[in-house]
Amino acid sequence: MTVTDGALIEQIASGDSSALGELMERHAPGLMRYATNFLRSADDADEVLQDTFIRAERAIRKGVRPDHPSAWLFRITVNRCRSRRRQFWRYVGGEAGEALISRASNPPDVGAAEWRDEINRALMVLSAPTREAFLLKHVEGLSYEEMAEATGAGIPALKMRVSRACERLRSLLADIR
Amino acid sequence: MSGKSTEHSTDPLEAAVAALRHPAPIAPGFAERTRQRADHLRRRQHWLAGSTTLAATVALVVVLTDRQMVMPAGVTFALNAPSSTSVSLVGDFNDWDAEQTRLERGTDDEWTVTLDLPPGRYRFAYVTDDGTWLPDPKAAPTVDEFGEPTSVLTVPTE
Repeated sequence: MTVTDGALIEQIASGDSSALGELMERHAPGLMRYATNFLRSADDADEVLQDTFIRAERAIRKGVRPDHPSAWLFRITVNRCRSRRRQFWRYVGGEAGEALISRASNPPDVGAAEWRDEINRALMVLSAPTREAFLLKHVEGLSYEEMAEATGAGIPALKMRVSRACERLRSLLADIR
Repeated sequence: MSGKSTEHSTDPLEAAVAALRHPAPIAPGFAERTRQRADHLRRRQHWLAGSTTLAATVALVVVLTDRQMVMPAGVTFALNAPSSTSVSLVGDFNDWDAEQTRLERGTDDEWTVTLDLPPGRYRFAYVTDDGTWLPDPKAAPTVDEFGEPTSVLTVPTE
């Protein structure tokens, strides 16, 4: 019989470290994919995910009992990604940041082997909230209700961001594919 | 679009979604590294709690003996943090106590505080409302005793 997330959280609260391992095994794949796609860096995503589970464990031991553990873990990951992105732009801001935006805005003609790079560049053209909404909806498959819980944004705003993201990405990638 | 995307789709958006849905590899030992880091952070918090007690003792000594200490012009610390609701400064000059030195929010989301510091070399970092420790992007980088990134400031003698 599969142990529910809620039962795992109770076990973590009582100090069972194996329960935390089980929670990681269950949720890390989706969270890692989101963080990697959002940050475009496997190393940064790894660190964000460590932060996510450390904060989750700390919160659980302080008495937090999320109604929807999956969306709650996404919320922590989304917030850590936002924080990591702010640090990134402080360090890669200025001319380097402008160059990155310019490069992403003007993708060169490429072959199929560079298709993934072009997707990455197109994602970087989107604003952070728009990229966030697109990845949560179309890559991670969250419902709009779960997205609202994960991001703190309203459902109408999220729908608008997803719509704009799809329109922008389709336009950016149309000439490359 | 959800659930039907394939990398061979003629729609570039569907093909992109299919590519993005590939699993992201999780580096070996992730769970163990996370546990080790959690233990490390717990030790760090205990160390900081201990240093706060020590700070009270040190501060008393400074009040009694420091009347001749040279106090140069103020040093302004600044951090651009538009999403933060509070920012503290921690460092060798305040025994890494996040409660001691709060920055004030100015225009353009710039948080600043000015301190009078005697000549010397100081390690420091910023702590945001969510507990994140950040080095100063404009200062020389270093790491503290726990391997965490911090910054270095040298206040020269006149």
